[in-house]
Amino acid sequence: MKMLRPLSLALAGSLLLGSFANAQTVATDPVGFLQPFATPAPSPQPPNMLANSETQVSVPFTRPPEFIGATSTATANTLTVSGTPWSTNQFVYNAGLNQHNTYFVLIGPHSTTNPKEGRAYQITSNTTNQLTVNNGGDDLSTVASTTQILVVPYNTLNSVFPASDANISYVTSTNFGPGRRTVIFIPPYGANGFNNAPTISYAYINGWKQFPDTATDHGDDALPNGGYVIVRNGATGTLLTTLGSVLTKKFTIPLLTVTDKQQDNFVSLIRPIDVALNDLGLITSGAFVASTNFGPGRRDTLLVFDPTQTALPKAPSATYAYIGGAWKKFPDTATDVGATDKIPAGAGFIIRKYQTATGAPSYWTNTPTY
Amino acid sequence: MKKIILYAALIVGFASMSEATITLNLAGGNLYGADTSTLLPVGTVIQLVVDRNHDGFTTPSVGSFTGNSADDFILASFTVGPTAGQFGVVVNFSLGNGIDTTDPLILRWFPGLTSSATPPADTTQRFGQFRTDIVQAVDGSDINWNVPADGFAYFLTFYTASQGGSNPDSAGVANMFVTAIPEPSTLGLLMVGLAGAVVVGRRAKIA
Repeated sequence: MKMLRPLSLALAGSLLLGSFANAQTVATDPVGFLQPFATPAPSPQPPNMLANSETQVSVPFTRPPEFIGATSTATANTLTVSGTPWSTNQFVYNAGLNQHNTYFVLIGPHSTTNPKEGRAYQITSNTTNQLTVNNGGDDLSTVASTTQILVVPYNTLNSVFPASDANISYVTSTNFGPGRRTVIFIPPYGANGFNNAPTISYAYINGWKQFPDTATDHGDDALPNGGYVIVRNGATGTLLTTLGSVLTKKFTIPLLTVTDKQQDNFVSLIRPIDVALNDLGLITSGAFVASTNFGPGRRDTLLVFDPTQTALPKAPSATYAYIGGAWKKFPDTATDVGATDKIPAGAGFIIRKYQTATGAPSYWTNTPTY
Repeated sequence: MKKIILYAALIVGFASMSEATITLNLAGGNLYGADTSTLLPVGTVIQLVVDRNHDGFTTPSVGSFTGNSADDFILASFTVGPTAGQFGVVVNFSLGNGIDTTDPLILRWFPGLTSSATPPADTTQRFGQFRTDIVQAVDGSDINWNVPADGFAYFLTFYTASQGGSNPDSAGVANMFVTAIPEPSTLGLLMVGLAGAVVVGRRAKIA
């Protein structure tokens, strides 16, 4: 599959000025929208998630930040800012109080150096000036004073596939049996090893419901940053339009490893443009182990899906490794495809990490090319 | 707090799963007892069984859900619910332990039993079963009742007409009975008798 794809729809960028009451700054990133995998074609656009097929798709934007400011102090799992810009637990999900968002804090740049730049952590509670985060075993105490931070809501099923998009980006179902239409699968993020099957799936049955429970609404379930969903359509293809803020900061994704086997990581780029393999930052950030060949010397691999292929279920269509100082596409170890082959905006893909001695994660930092 | 799928996984560590798994979103209804007048109550035992040797499924027997078969293996035990007569469960398993792609699968339900730890007690125990080599796509199945390729998730369903499915409601009736297992003493007498017959036969041949 040729991964070089034109940007499907021009980014409608604009500066949003001072629209968030609690923000300490007055400017945010540009906002825009994009239909993944769509080609410049006459209106109306054909489905970008095919009928009778699965599509690995992500949102190449964040939702608009609700706070942008700077840290004053940090501990292993807290970040404190000056002043009292927040109300207590305003960033904590609470449907009973009509607070339907779950939030993360993104560590931004610092005037000198910032080894945590690009990392994101879920906020578990907050006071009027301090965030407590789920650090995932990381240590935030090295985040220097005056480091920029952004507080951003996660995308959710309702934000990506809202009720207003029914029968556009997804087809509604009446049940999980004969009346099932579009199903959204969550990749098995928590599974040990490789080639694991998704275990969480949703259909829109008067709201997003998780199989097999057709009663509980899961529309507020947060979707991980830098991950993707698998949209499985029945006889009707659908058209997804993603929208949000263009992330102009670095973004870091931990790539998990284990000690005794390969480990799949289900990832995506939060960039609304196609990104060449050379620009992923996998090599420069030291997160991807080079191979010597596609045989016994194979180490980390990149597995990509073809969104134009109709397949149910869908397996990766191309495998890449970094061999001899360049990206190579299996089985050709001669041709450098690092500049020509690209990850399409809004695509989900897999980084299959080779086993490591410690099982510690590698941190992949992607820097925007725009 | 609302679930964050990725980050929760990072914090709590990996689930105890091996690589190369298969997920079956198993759902269906209606299931009945002796006839279609009574839906199976919530809590009734249902099982998904795999035939690892492709030699046919052994009928459940007194004391054993798999009829003491050496190769029939219970992939999942669950119960009817949350609505009477209906079921839905996520079954996640790995190939290996003799389980391979294309191995036949069968669904069984046992009216009156509420625990998979308690096998059938006598030959009055009814059960129903269903499988087909046809992909019942109109009923929401992605696959037929054989173990599919690993690494993917599939819907596997059994719906009868009263739930909008293509199978007659009679297919959901538990119209079979578990078989008896010979008591050890009975089995011993049987073998003695068999040995005696062989001896008599040989003597007759010599004469």
